[in-house]
Amino acid sequence: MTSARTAALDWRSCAGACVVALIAVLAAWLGGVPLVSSTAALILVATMIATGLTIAILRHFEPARPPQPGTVAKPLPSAPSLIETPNYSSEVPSQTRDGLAMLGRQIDSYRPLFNKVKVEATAINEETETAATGIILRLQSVDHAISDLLEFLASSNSNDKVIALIERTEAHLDSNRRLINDFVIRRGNDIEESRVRFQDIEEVTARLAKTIGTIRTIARQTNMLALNATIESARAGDAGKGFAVVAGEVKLLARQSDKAAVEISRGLDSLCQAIAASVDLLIEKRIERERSELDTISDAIGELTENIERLVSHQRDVLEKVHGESERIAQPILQLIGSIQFQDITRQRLESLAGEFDQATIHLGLIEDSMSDLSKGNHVPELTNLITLTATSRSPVSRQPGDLAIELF
Amino acid sequence: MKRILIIDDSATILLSMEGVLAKAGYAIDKASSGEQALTMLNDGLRPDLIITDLYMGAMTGTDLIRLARQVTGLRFTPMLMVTTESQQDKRIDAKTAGATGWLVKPVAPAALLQVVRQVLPER
Repeated sequence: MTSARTAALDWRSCAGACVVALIAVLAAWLGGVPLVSSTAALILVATMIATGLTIAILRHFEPARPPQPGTVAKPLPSAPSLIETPNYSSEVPSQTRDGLAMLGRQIDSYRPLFNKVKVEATAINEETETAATGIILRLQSVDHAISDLLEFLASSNSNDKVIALIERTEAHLDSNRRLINDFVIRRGNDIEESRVRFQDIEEVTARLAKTIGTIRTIARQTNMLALNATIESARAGDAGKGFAVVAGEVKLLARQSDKAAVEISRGLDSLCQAIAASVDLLIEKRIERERSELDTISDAIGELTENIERLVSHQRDVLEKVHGESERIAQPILQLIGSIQFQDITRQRLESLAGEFDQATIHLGLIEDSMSDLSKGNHVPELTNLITLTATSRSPVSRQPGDLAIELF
Repeated sequence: MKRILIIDDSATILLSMEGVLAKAGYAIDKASSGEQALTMLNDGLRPDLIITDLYMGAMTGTDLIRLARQVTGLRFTPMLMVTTESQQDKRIDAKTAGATGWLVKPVAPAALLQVVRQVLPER
């Protein structure tokens, strides 16, 4: 069907609709239908006429038939930037011109709406891309921090360093413990050596005591000799008086010698007792006290070692926990970084919609051109259906059931 | 360290893929258009793998792959197409141009790494 024929049919439809409207009103009036007033009747008539015009125009612009095989859709002419007031021909009825002008204004009102949709879609794309980029950067920042922590834990061998430090500390503590034990042994040896020396002193004292006994025996025998000499001097009479004096002096010396020997013996006994007392008081008790104190130090060292081992164990547990938790957090972060791809899909969908609105805007321009031609009584070219136009635009996400998400060729 | 060139006009996709692949130990180069990527390749960049989007403006990913195959040293380099497009004829076009594989967005990180390791088996 040509455009001219279509236009003719449309105008016949319009006229028919107007006649039907007038007949309907007249019949209602003659039939006693209670119309409120003549004004209401005129409004009804005008409404019917407008309806007829609208039907005629809509029929004129109804979607074109699908193109026949082998036919090529006409290229789109560029759309006018602004609606120009049509220069209606005087041959076209004024009501038609008014109706077309009204419809032109209605169509023109869609242009800012479509433009707004496109601007909004672009703004949404920019905002979501900015937000998605920010999210990824923050996620990567967190991921890098976790990676750094894991790398520090893994590569810096901080656990091994702590263990090495503790092992060195334990070695120092063992060394100190050995020094203490050596000191105790040395002190024991000193005690034993002191005892041996005291025994030597006792032996020397015993030998001196024997010597003193010999001295006292000699003193007693000397005294006996002096007594015998006194007796023999008495027998000798006057000749022996001088000898008796010597015998008396010898006797006196013997008694003094014995007395001195007794005093030496007593002194040696006192000396031995004093030395024994020194050994008991100054050595054994002191050593005992030192041993007790050293045992306390040794116990403290042992407890310190156990605490360090517990600390190492606790630190190892903490490090393992940190490592495990870090790994547990890293995986969802990676998933989140990957899932941000939805923004690109959304962007493409919005861009596709904006493209379709562009097509619609162009199509509206063509309709306006056609209406302008119509108002001038000119030939109206056949338009390509909008659905056909938008179907050629880029498909944002066109995955069909059965399509492989991943395919290696 | 294997080097991967990623081409996409979406900064989000570039960052997302870089985050996933860099964490797996790959060195990443990025380009936001086919023209920029082709310039980088002509200037001597020799990645071990190329991952490209399909729709990126004037030069599509299929165009890029077709031209990149003509660059010396890239004849046997694996080239993957990652796109929202899933139509079979587009896949055939890409395959004819020299694409190694076709991945439909969104690609899960684990799936992406699996495919990358599959096409870079010597790593």
